[in-house]
Amino acid sequence: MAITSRALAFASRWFDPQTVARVFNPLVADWQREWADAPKSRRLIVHIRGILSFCIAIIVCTPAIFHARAPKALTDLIARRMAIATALGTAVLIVPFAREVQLEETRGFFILFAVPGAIVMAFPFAMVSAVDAIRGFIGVEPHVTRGTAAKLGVVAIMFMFFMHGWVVPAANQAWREATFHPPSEPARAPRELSTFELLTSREPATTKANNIRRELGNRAALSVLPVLLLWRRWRALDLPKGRWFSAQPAAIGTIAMIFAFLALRISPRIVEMKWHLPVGSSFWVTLGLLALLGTIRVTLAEWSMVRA
Amino acid sequence: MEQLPKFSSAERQIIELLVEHEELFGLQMVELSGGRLKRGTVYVTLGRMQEKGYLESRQEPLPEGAIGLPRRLYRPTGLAMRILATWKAAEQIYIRGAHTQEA
Repeated sequence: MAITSRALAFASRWFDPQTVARVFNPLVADWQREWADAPKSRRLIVHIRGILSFCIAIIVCTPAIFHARAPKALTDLIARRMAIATALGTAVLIVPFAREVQLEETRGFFILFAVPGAIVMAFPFAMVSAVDAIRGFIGVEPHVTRGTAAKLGVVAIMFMFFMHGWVVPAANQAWREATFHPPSEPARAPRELSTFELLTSREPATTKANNIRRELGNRAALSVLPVLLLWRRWRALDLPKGRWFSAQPAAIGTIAMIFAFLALRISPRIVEMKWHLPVGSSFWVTLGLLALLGTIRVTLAEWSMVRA
Repeated sequence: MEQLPKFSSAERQIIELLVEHEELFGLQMVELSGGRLKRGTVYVTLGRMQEKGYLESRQEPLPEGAIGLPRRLYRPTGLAMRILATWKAAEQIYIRGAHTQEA
């Protein structure tokens, strides 16, 4: 009956003690008894039905996760750490490009319009600092900790969706208009169109249509990236300290995540062309590989601990 | 004037089953309801009904040699029985009124 114990442990990590006592304990108790009373030939069916009802109960109770209020000191700490990490990342991304801008008078424009684009690149990696703040905060119940992380994930997706979908395209277009001084408005490339405009564009199957699909894929994947990095850091912090697989300090962990992302970001485009994958799927390949690497690390760590 | 508390259809079904059988487990209610109560949601409904004060519960003592968690038995409170009786009476009055109008 390990599966029922695992299910209950899962619920205990995500929900407050009262919800666990009133909803999940009775559900699991009835499931266990039904399993014990069933003939061996029916036990698999009992487990399938139990898992299904457990999943439905989890979905129905999910709003309770978001009602768990984190202490103000914790939310302030998360906001502070994320702001610092995002600001540092943004500065690091902008400075080398700003130095390359030839004319002194356009440098100010460049910095102003490049900031939103740099923020959306830096923000997902700030999740490492945020997770460390959540996990390091003492005196908070596990369900509140996880609820805070879940809320942070939702907010991060919404932030990325809004920034990458509307703010960055507007800034890109403003930059072009400010610097090229054409007689008419410069043509708008996919990166300068809002997500709504991309979704409603009626381009025939041309290179531009492919570029639009690629841009949409990029935006969707980047919106999910913060949650993936949150999950990876969370799992890494679960591992014991002082071993080869242990989580590094937040700064080193962030840099390692950035390098891993950039390394995996280059190759998938080639994979997309060589394996004839759908246009725009390369970004999802990158995310898949990042998730796979995280899973392999945890699996190897667990295997190493069992062997030890 | 304080409003008469309402039951959802699932809550009413549960109270009616408990009035009939006195004390039941969640899974027994699902079986006795003939498919109207679902396994995935019945425990959530039972939890909410306990919060509202409609139900009381106790843990079943574990039979000798049994393993796992003790099951939870539910029974209706006086409040739930009063609300159910009041709604049934109100329904009767409504039905009688509708028949009188038709006649």
